[in-house]
Amino acid sequence: MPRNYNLPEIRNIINGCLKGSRRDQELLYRRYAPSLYAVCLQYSDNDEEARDILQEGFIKIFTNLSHFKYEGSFEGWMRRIIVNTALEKYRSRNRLYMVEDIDMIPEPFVDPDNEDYSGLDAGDLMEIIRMLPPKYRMVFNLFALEGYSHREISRMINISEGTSKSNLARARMILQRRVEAYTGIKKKVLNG
Amino acid sequence: MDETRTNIDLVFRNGLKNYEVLPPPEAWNNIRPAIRARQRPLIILRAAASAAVLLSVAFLAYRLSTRITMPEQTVISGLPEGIPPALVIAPGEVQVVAEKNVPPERQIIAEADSDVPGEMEVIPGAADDNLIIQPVETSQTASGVVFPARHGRKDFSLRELFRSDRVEIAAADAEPFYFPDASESGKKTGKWRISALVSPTYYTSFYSGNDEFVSRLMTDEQPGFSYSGGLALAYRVSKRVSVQSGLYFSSFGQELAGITSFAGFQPYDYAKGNRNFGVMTTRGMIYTNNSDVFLLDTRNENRIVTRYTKDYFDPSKANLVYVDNSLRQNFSYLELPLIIRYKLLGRALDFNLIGGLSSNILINNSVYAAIDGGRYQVGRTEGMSMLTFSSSLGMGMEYNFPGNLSLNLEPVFRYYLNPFSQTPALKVHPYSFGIFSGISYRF
Repeated sequence: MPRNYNLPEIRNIINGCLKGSRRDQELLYRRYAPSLYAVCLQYSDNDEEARDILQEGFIKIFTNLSHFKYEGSFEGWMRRIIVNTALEKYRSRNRLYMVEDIDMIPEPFVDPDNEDYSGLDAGDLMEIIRMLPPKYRMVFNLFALEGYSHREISRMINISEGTSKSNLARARMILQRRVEAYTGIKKKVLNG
Repeated sequence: MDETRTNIDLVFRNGLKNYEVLPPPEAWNNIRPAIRARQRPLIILRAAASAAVLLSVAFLAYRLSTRITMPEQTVISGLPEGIPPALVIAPGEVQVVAEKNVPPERQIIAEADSDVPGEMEVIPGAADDNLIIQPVETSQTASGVVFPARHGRKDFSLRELFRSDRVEIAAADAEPFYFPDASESGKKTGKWRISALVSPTYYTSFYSGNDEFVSRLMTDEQPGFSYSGGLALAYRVSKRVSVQSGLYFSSFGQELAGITSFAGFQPYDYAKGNRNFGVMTTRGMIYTNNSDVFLLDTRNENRIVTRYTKDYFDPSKANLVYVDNSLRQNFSYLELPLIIRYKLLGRALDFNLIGGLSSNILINNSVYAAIDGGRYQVGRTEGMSMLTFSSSLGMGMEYNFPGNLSLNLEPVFRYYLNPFSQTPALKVHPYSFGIFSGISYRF
């Protein structure tokens, strides 16, 4: 588990990075890479793509460190860079994803009575979110996890506000079913 | 239904809030060379920009000096090639200029001062009645030429003579008098000059940001005793323009009011290492390197960062010895200046306009508290730029003694182009004012 630094220590590390100190660059990477890599995984189809986003994002972070003005959270600033890098990658691919029909999405197990999701850990949630079609995943991530509005999302990924809303609704529906399914499976496994 | 769907947002938001996954090891190996490659052009660009600024300043100074000295040069260069001097006057010699364009009743009697070595030329100009007078060697001084003239002016300098369209020529029997060129009088000197200068300096700074905390830090920081001095070597590239460089040492500091220091903390220090306290300043972060020191912010401004907060350590119950109620930061720099000096007035007291750039290399950085006239070492300031650039502008006064010595007095304003701290939020730009005094030797 990487060590948590206080603000003066972070300032020192940033200063060191600005001076080109390799030690401080590595310290900063080791401290923040795990949480940012989780964000990369959340926005990518596979581990290779997540690694590419992380690499490109960190290169941007290091080369733009002098622009960080200490006006907000440093972690939040880095997270925005990573999310923007993921969006760039998403836009540049310009892929036309075949959106699977909800009824066609395989659902391993559904337990309609289950309302308790506390059995799911972060790894399960990440797995579920990455199973979403990219169009839905992007909108869900940006809206539900990053807090952007539909208007902002429509500009970010070049879709209409209506499409953003509809994608979000479909993403939620899929996630709801999958969470229920996962919870059911886990309970069954745990109860033997 | 909507509530359930919003709830699913919360399930993911909360579930993934602190989620961390170790990235593959090769990711860092791919990032490291990329950021090193990107930093290099930045350094090259900065060096190129500095060189461009220096060249521009030098070029502007050269152009300015060329334009101002133009009248003299125009006259001299206006001579048709191959025209020999009308006469050459040796020191102490008196001659009558017999030029075909000058009527006999308007001839010049020329006499060189016997005190001044070197010969003078009196040359007919391109236009009728124009006379050009110049030293035989242009690098030589032009003092001591005697002319009879009917205007009776005794402060008529050689330079003014060159500027005038016509030389007023007196009758041959008029009473002769001197036309000393004050700017050049008594200065049989070379192009080099070495100076030893020293100055008490007043340092202060201004903050260009709007962070309230930084503004508050600044109010608690008072400039301390500062001085600067060193050796300068100047080369005269023209009559008015000199380029100067050298090596200066400067020391300056500031006092942090309200940071009280105590000695005798070592028995209570349970942590490994000496960096028990950090103090935020506009110059950077002070870290203690003395495990015996305990620091307290008596102004309660949260400038101190430490694990020994009130919850863990009560200084009033410990056996600590009071040292001082303020900390003193001290910095020393080696300065490598590149200065252009432009002579505005050349009399017995020369006036020069001075401007240029200096690169300043940090060579000492210490923080201490004062105790019984001595220093109680506390630590050092981190996050300081090792290299800073400053621009300077000043006015130089130079009193010329007979011989090659002169006395200098130079009030100089200096502004630091980049902040001392590398922390981007601390955009505190120092500036200073000093009055350099010293002596110069010309050779």
